Amino acid sequence: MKKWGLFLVGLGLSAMLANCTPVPDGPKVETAKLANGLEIIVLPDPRANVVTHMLWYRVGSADEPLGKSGIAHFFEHLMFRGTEKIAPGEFSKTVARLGGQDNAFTSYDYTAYFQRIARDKLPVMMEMEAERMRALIINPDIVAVERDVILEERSMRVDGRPSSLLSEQMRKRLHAGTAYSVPVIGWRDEISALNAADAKTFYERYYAPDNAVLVIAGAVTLAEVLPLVEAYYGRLTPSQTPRDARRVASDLRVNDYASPQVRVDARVRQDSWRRLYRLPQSTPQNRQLFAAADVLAEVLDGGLTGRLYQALVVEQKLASGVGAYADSARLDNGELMIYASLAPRASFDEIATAIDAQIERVMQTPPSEVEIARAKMQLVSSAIFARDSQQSMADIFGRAAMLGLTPQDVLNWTRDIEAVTPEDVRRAAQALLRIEHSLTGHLSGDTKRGGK
Amino acid sequence: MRLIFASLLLSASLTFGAAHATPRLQEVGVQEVSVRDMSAWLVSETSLPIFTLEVAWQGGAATDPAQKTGLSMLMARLMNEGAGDMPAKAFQQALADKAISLSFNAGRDEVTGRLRCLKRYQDACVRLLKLALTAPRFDPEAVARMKQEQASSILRAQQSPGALASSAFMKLAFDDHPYGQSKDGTQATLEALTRDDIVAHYQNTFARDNLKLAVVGNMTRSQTRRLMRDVFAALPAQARLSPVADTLATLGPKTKHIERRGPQTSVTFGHRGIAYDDELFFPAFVMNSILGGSGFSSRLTEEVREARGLAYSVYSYFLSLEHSHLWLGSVASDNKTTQQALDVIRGEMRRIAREGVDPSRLDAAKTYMTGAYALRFDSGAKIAQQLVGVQLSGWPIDYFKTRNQRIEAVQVEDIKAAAQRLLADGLLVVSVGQTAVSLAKQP
Repeated sequence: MKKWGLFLVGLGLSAMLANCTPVPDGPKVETAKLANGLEIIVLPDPRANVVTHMLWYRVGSADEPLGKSGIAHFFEHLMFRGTEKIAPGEFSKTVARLGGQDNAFTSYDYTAYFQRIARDKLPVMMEMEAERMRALIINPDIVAVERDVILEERSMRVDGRPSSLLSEQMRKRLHAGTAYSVPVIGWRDEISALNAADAKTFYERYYAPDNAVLVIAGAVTLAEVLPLVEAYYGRLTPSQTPRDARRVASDLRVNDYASPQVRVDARVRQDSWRRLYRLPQSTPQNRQLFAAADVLAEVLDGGLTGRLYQALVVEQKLASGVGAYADSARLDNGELMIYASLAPRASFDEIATAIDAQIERVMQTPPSEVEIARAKMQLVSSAIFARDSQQSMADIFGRAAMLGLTPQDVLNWTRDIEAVTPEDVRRAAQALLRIEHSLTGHLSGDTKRGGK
Repeated sequence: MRLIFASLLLSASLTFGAAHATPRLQEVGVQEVSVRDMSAWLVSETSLPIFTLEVAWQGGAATDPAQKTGLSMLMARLMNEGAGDMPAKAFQQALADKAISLSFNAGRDEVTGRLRCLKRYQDACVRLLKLALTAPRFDPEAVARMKQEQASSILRAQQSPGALASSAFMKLAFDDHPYGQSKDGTQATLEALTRDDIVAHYQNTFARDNLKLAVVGNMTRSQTRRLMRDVFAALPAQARLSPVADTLATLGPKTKHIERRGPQTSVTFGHRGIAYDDELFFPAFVMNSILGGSGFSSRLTEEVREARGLAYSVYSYFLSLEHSHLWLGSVASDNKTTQQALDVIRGEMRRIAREGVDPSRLDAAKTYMTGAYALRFDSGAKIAQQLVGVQLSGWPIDYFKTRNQRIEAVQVEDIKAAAQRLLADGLLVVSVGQTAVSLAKQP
């Protein structure tokens, strides 16, 4: 990123401004940083008189203390339950009363809060979001009720769904010894024990301007919003306590990888097979490997034209659906996932054999130029279609910032994709799709079929 | 808002709200483009090199014959599985080579198509759309494969408590009427469908007189006219669909329980709703927003979730169908507290009918509903869906301007009247889990 290092002395602002090198026909991205450490990314889109105001914190479930799983997500809920100036429940009601919608989400590596609202209401959103960054009230009675809400959420998302329970078991093994082995929502017994003191400790450490990135997308420019950002967020004091370094697996081998994780549950009607590969950490140095991984996943998946669909659904009729995707947007070890829904008479062994044959093939022979061109077309055009939605844009650039990527890195992604060769894809398959780095899962409603 | 936000910290020099000079999607406005007996609604916006076409044909799963449920859905799945001299794989490759996204779906009252294109491949995009609509192949290989996909979809719905509750509710409300059946059909009806059934249904569905069309993005008026002439003029003038009877949901109170192991019971509740042309439609719409339609601001969320911690998600909404209407709601709660959650919900229904709402609550609902309307128009894809949705509802093209005025006009007494008429006794309730809920106790 080319830094202009421009100080807005005339306005009395202490913000550092920077612009990205424009990509031809690419989106405009403007960035700045306040003296207290708050980073700002503005994505101008004048098409609608609406803005997406999104505050991202560099903290997620993978930063939780041992035994306190679920606190990052629990805390996200508490951010809606009252500050010094905002009564419990009033945050979202105020947004709604002003004609907006708001919500938040928690992941392994970050937590984000957002409002979507008419452009002229942006100052109020900033005022309220800044208020809850430093002036939250953590009331033990409310904590107790919210804990029940979260246990209901866990029941709905995980405990009542055999498929989610299988994913949880698989990640516990796949990422053993690292933070991603613990689910974002937390283990049920640990959620039940979380309390107001845990929340307060977590809040004071992580909710500070130097641990946050503000993303604003929509009918605004940086020049317009920067004085507001400075006025509302500029006075907040930094905590200067960034998260601890995490344990990243450098040896990707999974214990007992050859034995699948089997879950047999009478509630399951459609049996399914899945495999998770543990990926190396994504860094600026290996970005070309991960660009090749995106193309690889597209060659394998690619909807109806993809190799897995053609082999398992069209030709061998073993599956009614199949797919692959690479989730490398993680701070630590990412995952590449392959999944299939079993056709009525297919066995789990047949599915595994057919998929392994496709993986072996892509490891041995580079895909054709035509296949690579098609995969690249899908990926590169997705970056153009993403621009249709200001919310998607805020999401993409915010997420990237959480992973330590600059907006310029995001803009360069399409060039990285364009540069991928068939041989790169073959090498990526050899490097990333190693069976000893993976874990296979079977979900079945049938006891007899479960292991087979 | 009681707090004087925005004036606390800001000096006058930081006022923020001056209008932009740049044209906005909603300011550019919707225009009607007519070609012969067809019309389309167009929003032309050229800042991005893409456009979206959204199209619907009235008909849909409600027109599936009783012994052939799942037919519209199977046909929709096959509409991008090969056309002209290109079998499925070749056709899909032709789409993928130009990053064209073309998909079809079946609703209860319509079959929809969605096309997303890069401007630079406009010609290929239009050509492939025309081919799909006028020369679909329905090859036996693709039919068998899509049947398998749909059979899998039926199985998946049977393992989701929410989907189970929802489909059982439709059966309870509409019984043998088409609205009581699954859009995917049953394993038996699906298995029995033939290629001849699909071809006949295709010929009867895709016509000009039941067509609702929207184009949004990098397309001019004349390009849109050309597209309509090139693609849609080739369809038959009139659809030939079997008529669907108007119907009303059965009257409760009635309950149905489906036993399923798990920590929670999922509940779908509801009863008859209200027609678009009813004078109480907008009052009812605002009333529901206050009761259960506005997320964190709704009374159901306040009472069930925030005050008592009984659920993560609770909501209600009106479902308008071509031949009927419903008011529906949903909650999932621990097996031990499901009955309590339902009692709280019924208490809130009774309360709003008995007490109405105070003026400040009504004002808050109005500013939410009118303000948040713009959020449905912040991307081309969303706008295209809105344009077709409004046409399917039978509203005129000025609806985008009059909708908020109609909400503004709702008065406090209208809310009470709507609640008293619509939230009467006679609830239908389906529970899926380990608690069979009861309507015996008066809330």
